[in-house]
Amino acid sequence: MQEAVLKTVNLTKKYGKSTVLDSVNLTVRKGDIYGIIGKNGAGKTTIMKSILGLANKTSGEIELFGKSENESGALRHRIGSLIEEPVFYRTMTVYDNLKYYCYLKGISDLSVIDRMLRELGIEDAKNKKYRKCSLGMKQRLGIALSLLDSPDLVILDEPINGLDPIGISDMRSLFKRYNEDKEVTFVISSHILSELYTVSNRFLFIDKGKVIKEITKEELDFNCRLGTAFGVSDTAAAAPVIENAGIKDYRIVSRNDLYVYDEKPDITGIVKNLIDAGLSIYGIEKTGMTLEEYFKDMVEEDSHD
Amino acid sequence: MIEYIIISVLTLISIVVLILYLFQRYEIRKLKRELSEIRGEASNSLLHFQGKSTEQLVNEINLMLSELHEIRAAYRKRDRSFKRMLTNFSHDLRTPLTSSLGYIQLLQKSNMPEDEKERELEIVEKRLCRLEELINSCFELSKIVSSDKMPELNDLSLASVLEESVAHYYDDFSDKSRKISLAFEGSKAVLLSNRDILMRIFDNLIGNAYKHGNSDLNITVKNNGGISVILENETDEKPDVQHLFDEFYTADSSRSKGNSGLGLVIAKEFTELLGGNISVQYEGRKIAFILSFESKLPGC
Amino acid sequence: MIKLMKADLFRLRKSWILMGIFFVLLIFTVADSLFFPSTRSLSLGVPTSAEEGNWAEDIYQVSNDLLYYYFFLIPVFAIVVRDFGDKTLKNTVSGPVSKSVFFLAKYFMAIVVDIGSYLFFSFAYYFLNRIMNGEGHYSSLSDYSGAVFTHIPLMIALVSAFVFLAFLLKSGAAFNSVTLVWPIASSLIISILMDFESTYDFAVEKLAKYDISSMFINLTLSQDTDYRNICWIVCAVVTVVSVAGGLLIFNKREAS
Repeated sequence: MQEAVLKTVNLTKKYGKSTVLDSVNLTVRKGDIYGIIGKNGAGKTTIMKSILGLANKTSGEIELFGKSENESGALRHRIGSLIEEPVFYRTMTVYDNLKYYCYLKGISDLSVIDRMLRELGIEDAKNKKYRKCSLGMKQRLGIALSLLDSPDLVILDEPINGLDPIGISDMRSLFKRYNEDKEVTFVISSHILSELYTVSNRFLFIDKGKVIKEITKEELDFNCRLGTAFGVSDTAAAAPVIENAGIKDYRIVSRNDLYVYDEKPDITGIVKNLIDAGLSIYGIEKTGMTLEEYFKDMVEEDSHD
Repeated sequence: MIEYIIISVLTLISIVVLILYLFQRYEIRKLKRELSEIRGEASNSLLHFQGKSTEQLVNEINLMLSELHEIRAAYRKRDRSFKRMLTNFSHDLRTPLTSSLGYIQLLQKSNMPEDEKERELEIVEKRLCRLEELINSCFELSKIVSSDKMPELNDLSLASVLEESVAHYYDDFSDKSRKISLAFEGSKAVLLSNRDILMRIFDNLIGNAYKHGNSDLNITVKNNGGISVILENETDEKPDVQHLFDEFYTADSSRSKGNSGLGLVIAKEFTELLGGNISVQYEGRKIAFILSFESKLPGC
Repeated sequence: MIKLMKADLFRLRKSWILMGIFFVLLIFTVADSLFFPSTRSLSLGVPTSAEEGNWAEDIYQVSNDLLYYYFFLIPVFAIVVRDFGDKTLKNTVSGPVSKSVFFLAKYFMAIVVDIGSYLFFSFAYYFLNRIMNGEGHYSSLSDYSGAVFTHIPLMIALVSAFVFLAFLLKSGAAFNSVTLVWPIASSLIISILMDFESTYDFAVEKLAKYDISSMFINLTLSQDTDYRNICWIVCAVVTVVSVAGGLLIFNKREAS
């Protein structure tokens, strides 16, 4: 198990009387792409702000790279971030803006600026004044800034806002590449579930400031994938029966479990064939739902408690 | 009077030198701390600017650190690839094995008529052959990757090797009413290569076109400066061209098509072993594989 | 902190229009006295009893430095207020720079630019005046330096207050309104108070004498050491309160 890069324990934040975050517990491990999913106003941004010191938490602990808050100040340079909308000096060019931050962070090799611009696909806007840039360019610049100082942890608040579909796909590959090759840990928030689904390996579902669930992708897949699960006495014998019934997309999971992923399987037919072949059936279950349904389900379940 | 001036100037200079020295020591201490942190936590960070006197040193060390990070990244990529290969491998083995077992059990138990039994046995045989193929490809790939020996090279006529390879698949293609066409542009292509390996490359590529394509296969050989062999056909599948040559990528699940997915990877490794290059282009429904080699001009 | 200052210096270089205006204004005030000696330039405030004395123009020039009140606003605006207006402080504070360091770096930058320009222009004026206008129009270097340096605590207090206000008010509009209106507002209050018999003494003795404009003039011209000391104490207090207050408020507040 990888060690925890970020951990919050009972993180709570109140603005006067209203509680925006209520005892949030989460753990992000090294190499994760951790997706935080919630409706607008659920508290995603507040969590991120609290971690970065942009908002003062009311109570609870935050551990960064295994160190408590007093010690972690010096480790901030290992974190890159983009919270809410990107902000830069409006009268300076894109290049100069990044140059400013290079000076600020103590990066003496300025070639990294060109490299970053190229990676994010905005090298054409190099000499454009920031205020003249489109929303997509500004967003990319914000992400470039978060990656500028070779971070180990990158916290992004709705990074694909304002990007066109190709941009979104480019960003997805970028995150994957950084995560897989450079072992950069990502914490990304979004309300677009499908996008987060494709990149993340762990998820945090949050609603009204409370954590509903912290779950891995495998568990999510297990819960969401559409299919029919058959419990049989002997999958080895069941396999030819299934194939004879014309099913191609199936998977033998264990000695007794078989998943059929066809969208509309002829369950009656399958069952009949299995029984005819002398097998016993222990159970049949419909598995799967879309991500949105799953999320809605969880949120409603929680509000019923 | 003048002594006072000299003394004060000297004192001033010594103070300045002392301050510069202390600054430098401070810078070096900070750098040492940053460096141990980077090493200890396996961090991606680079050293940060501390002062003018250590700037050059910082840049040099950062270059080394970047190299180190790259090597680590490449290693991780390979490692991941390998692990993925192993996982896919076990999945791909289990399903056909289990189903073969199932079939055999079925045969043993049932009172099927003889010809039906024969049919089922054929299916089992096909399944097991596929398995054998899979295992063989795997061994083959690992042999190439791990061996350091250079293959034996001779002067070859590209055309003859290609023609023989085409002959291997000609019947399969015609059974599906598909044709293979061969065209030669430029002078006769002669290159320094290894016949078996080259044959294998062509076999893999043509076999791949057979399994995943659904149209005629057009092969063009160009010889103008360098030698290139272009294999073009149409396909209904949507290949992920970025990953075609990654170990164990398949456009379709290996269960249904009976393809280990290693064919292309092996083709790539072999091509590079022979000093050539392979690339793929995909547009609309047409996919083209392009091999390029250096030509050996006759008489060199 | 030095890195932040270096970065801000780079940024100031890039916003050369704003800084250009700053320097041009400074040049104009100095040029006026250079080319037209023997005329008094802008004068505001209440001088003390006719301690006019026998000074050369350059000392009077120094005593008319009230204009610096307005000039100092420009660098503070560029250095501090911009970061709030563009909200870019979010990027810096979430990074390796803590809030205290951020505040102090901005503060020192403002001091260095403002006071540095003041010293530079004051002494440039002195030497140019000496060269251009010759005998009778200049004082000795030590007298002039003395005059210039009496203003330094006042300047530091001003810059500190401005930086404090910038951090407190955050928006450019609010900052401009408060700082620009303050001298006028305070003069207005004093003259109102002077209308009433009961408050007249208080107004004249306490408020008017220590009003900013008066301080400028009197620090140089007056010989009253008690007065000077009190002025300097007031300045010191303002400085300390501004810096401490600024640090506290900024640390407590949320950055967005």
